[in-house]
Amino acid sequence: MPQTQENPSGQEVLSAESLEATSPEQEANDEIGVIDVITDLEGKVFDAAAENRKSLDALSTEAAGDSELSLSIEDILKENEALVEETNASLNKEVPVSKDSLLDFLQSGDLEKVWVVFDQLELSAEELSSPEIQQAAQACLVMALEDSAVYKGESFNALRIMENFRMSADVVNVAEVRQAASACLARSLEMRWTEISFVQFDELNKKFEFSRDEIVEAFRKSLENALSQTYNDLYMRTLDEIMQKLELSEDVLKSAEIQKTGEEAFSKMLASRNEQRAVGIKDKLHLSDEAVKKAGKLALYDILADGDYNLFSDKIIKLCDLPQTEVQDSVKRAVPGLLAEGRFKDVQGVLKSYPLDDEYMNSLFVQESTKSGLITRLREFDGMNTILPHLEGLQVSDEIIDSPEVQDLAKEALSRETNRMNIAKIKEVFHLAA
Amino acid sequence: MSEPKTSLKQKMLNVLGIKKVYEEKNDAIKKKIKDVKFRIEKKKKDTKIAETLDLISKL
Repeated sequence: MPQTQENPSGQEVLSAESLEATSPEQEANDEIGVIDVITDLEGKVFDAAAENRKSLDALSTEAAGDSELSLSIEDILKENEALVEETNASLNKEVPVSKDSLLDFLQSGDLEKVWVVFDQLELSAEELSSPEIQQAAQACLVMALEDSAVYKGESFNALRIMENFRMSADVVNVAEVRQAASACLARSLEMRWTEISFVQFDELNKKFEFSRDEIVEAFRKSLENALSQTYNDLYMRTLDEIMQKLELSEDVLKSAEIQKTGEEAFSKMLASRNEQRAVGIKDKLHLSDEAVKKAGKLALYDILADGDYNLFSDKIIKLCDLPQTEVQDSVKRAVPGLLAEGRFKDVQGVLKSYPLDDEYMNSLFVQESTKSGLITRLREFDGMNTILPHLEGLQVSDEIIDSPEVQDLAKEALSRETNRMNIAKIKEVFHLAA
Repeated sequence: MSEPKTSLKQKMLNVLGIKKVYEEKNDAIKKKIKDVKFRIEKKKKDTKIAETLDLISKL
């Protein structure tokens, strides 16, 4: 039978003497294990207390006017707060205080646990300035900045690490830290919907004393992020304000990198049929006529390759002032893809709006694409019906129609056909004997 | 400063003890909240019945 004793909470537990000795490695793991359980429980206590408070607040509104019920609610609220305080106090006493675990948590960037141990350790200035602590704090700082750079760009955690660990300039001013801080700075600019966007920017800037080039780079990065993926409307609407805040002149926008970013975003917006945003990018970033034409040509291709003609394609041509030769280029790039997928109706529509010369349509590449599309469609059970109404005008060569693959598939389709009109048409189009 | 292993084991056991006590006390709080809720609902029903009876008596 193991020996037992009472713990501070009145629970009967195994006595320390009854436990066996373990290795230093095991000891470190045990220490982390204890802190894991403590932080986990602290989180649970916090959440449960908040849930209780919420329920009691709701009941308090319903019980308004009933003094007896109101008193009961007040008592439970007090009991709830007392339980949080009492549990946290008991847990704090159990935190294993060791520099090794602090180093582990710093190196893994687990800030919640870092502060739990840090508060208990009360390290001297000399201990804090030791290379191992400073190095671990540096790694943790990079992680905190990187996390923040993909989240809200807030400076709070980074500043807390720098201050609490009294990080010296030579530890902070290394490429890895400054790079992470710059990404965080860019993110703070993107968070325009939060009131603290510029506050975060100022705090980081004050602490890291960014150079002019670093600020321009952070701005470029923030602009690039704002234009890509989920388009940041607010950022673009307040671009003038951001530039004013950063004391940047319009010349910054003329840089090759920003113009390239703008050109790509402009093209992407046109291709996704968002004219308003596209025009906004073009105007705000002062895209050159050449860039607008290049982006417009690409967007036109994307739209046509999607089988969209007339609707937005005409708008792109007009907006980008695309000359006929550029339009033809985009059409020539889009048509073979549509043909190869067997989208003959779309091809017919595109060619009706933007005709191509016979020489191109009869070229081997286009004819091979047509053959591939025909075979794809004919392999479908009802494929013939999607082919017949649109084949005319596509200039399919006899060579393709008479090819063994097409002939075999056409014969199969014919054998399934029951409509007399269609039978006659299939025979005519696919040169099948009466 | 590294603590002795036995102390860590003891700490873990203590934390588990604290957890158990906490859970019991939090359950008791939840029960009290439920009780207040029940009393509020009952009061609402009683008021409604009294109002209905009052209405009937006036007919």
